[in-house]
Amino acid sequence: MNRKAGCILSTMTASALLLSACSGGGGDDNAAGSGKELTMWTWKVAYTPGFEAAAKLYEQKTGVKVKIDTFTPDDTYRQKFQAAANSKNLPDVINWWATAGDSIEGSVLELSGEIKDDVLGKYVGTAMDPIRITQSQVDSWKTDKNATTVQKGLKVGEFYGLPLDIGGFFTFYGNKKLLEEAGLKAEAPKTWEEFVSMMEAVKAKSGTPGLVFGAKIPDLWENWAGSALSIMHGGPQGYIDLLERKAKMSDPANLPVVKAMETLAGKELLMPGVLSTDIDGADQAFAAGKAAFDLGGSFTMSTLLAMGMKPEDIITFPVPPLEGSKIQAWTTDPFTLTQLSVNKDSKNREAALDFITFMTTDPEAAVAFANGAYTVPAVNLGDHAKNLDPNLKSISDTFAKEPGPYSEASPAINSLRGKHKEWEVYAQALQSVIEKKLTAEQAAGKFDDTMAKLEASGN
Amino acid sequence: MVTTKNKWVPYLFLLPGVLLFLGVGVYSVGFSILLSFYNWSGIDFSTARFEGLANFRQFLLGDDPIVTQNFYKALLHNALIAVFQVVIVVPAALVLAFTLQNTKMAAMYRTVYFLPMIASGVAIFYVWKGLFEPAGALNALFQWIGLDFLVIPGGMLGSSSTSLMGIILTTIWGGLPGTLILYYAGLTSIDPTLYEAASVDGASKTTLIRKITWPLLKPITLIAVIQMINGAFQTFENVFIMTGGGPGGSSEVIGTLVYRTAFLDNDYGLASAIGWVSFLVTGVIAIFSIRSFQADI
Repeated sequence: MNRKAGCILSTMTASALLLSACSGGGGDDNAAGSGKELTMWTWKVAYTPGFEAAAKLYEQKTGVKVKIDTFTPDDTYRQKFQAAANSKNLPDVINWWATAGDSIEGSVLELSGEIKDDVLGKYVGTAMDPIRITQSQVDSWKTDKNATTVQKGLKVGEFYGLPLDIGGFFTFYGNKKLLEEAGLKAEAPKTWEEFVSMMEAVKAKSGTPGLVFGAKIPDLWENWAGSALSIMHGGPQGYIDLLERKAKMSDPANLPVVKAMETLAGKELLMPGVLSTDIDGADQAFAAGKAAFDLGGSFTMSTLLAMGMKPEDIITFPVPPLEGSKIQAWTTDPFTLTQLSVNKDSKNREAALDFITFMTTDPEAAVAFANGAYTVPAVNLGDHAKNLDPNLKSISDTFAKEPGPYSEASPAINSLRGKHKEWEVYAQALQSVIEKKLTAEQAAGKFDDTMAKLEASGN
Repeated sequence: MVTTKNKWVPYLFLLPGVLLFLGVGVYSVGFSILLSFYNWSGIDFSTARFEGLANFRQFLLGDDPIVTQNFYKALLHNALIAVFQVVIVVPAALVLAFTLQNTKMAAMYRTVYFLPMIASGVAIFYVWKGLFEPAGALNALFQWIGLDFLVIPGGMLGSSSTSLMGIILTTIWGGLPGTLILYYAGLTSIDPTLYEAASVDGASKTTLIRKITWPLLKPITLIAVIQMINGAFQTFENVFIMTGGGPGGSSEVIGTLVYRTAFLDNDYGLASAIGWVSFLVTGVIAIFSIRSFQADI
């Protein structure tokens, strides 16, 4: 080989190596087009054992294997999905947040023509609500100048996934031992005021702060507790009015909810450093006994158990109502947490559709998934519910069986709370209330002023 | 020896690098500029909608008051980080570079000073976060030395009054080694005969520094300042990990605003527009710095 040829060969080898290094690496995920293997992505590490258990049942039934890949955390998964969608390299099945108009619709199969009522009738009453596109969403996107082309192209009644699991926020977890040491009965408080006095008693006895939650995330309080307090206090329509800009936060009907946070801050019942604490950090702090109560959802229990707590160490109860609320007890109105969708370009489209239908409607698969993932399935389990893990079953039993007040407000929540940016300002103002830099009245005033300013500027 | 026969061979060797630059560098920069004129959710560019200058108007001219407020607030925070960095790091790095040059334990000091440069950013910022916790080392130190009035009950990062200060501290800590290297290299490259000649002429130590060292280090200072301004306007990692921009937006910077807009709100067009305006602002400041230094050099 002469020198020139050697040079060319070296250059070509280097180029080839470089190009191969730059390529996706995984090749075509759908290449297993024989129909014997499906590929699936999720971001929920805790769900993987559940998916694997259900996939095993599916393989026994059909001979089709399902290969599950997990990419975490949430942001990474979103970016992974976007990159793969742009390069047409998505897996056959995608686990996604149960939502409509999240811009994945251009990449996954629209199912209203594929899935009929015989399947849809198997889910719990409200399971399809966040997935199926509503008239109010279509109207909202049509008038929203910032809505994407994908959102503007969606039609009423379309849906792009099937509901996998349900759950609810609005759940407080209490440390039974700390409560009993403070001379309290480890029972759910009947009102917000009683809840506050329980926190005060624990703090007085042991010095342990009352409450921890992921306050680093500005809108977490509103999403997980504040909206429940509002809906109970003024009824669902009162909250809808606020979302639709027909009411003010400083109205007597709404101000007490802001004051609830002011009380926690004023009495120094929140864990020090709560504003730099995220969701995991809050759960860790609670599990380590650094706070008497933790705010979470039905999904928090699995995290606490994984952190070494025992079910008998914990009491759980829904957000208690403020005294004088229109609704005197919060029924945890479950909503769909995640969905399963099919890649619209999948070579295994039929098999993928069959798999997501099996995963979300077959009672045995649903129980296997639920017990492995520690989440409540979206399908009506009927008699199979007895096979659920006992803790999971007790969570499931606390869920309302009929659509409740949250369901009534949720269409407005889904379409307006993200769009109307006074809520973003309010979430940050509440952080200032926690810091005692703003009073409840000032925070509410900030919400109202921003709302007026945005309305005036056509936003 | 390059002959007419094989003169194209060097270009062939350059080809992979050129292709990589064109494919990754130029394409992504160009695409990002293009994006700033579109409304796009991040998937399938055929769904992108041309919006002209709407994205720019949204945050520059107040078409969307909240985005505008967030942008200018973040820009101010970036500017504050830049100012604090330049004002503190330049003299500190200069003093440390002198120390390095004149100490017998230079090797040990070098290792200590350059630690921030070799340590993993993400891991280090989690350590910083721990130090700033309510029960962290910083509060414990203040209590231990009797400066209780400096203790921040909610932790430095948990208070909107101090969260940006926490970010600035980590930025200064991270920015010091790079500037130190520049000054150290600059000091060692100064011809010692200049000092000898000046000393023979009776120049004092202060005069040597004022008349020889500082003028010869001015071009290096210019590079250091531009690097720091550039770094300050690209701040992201430490803010993202330590505060997420909070509490109440008190530590939001352009980097986290762009991230939030693109990856959480799925508004890639607006995020690109914000990114490019931030780039232009950095460029203007850099040009201003170059001009003001050039007048002096």
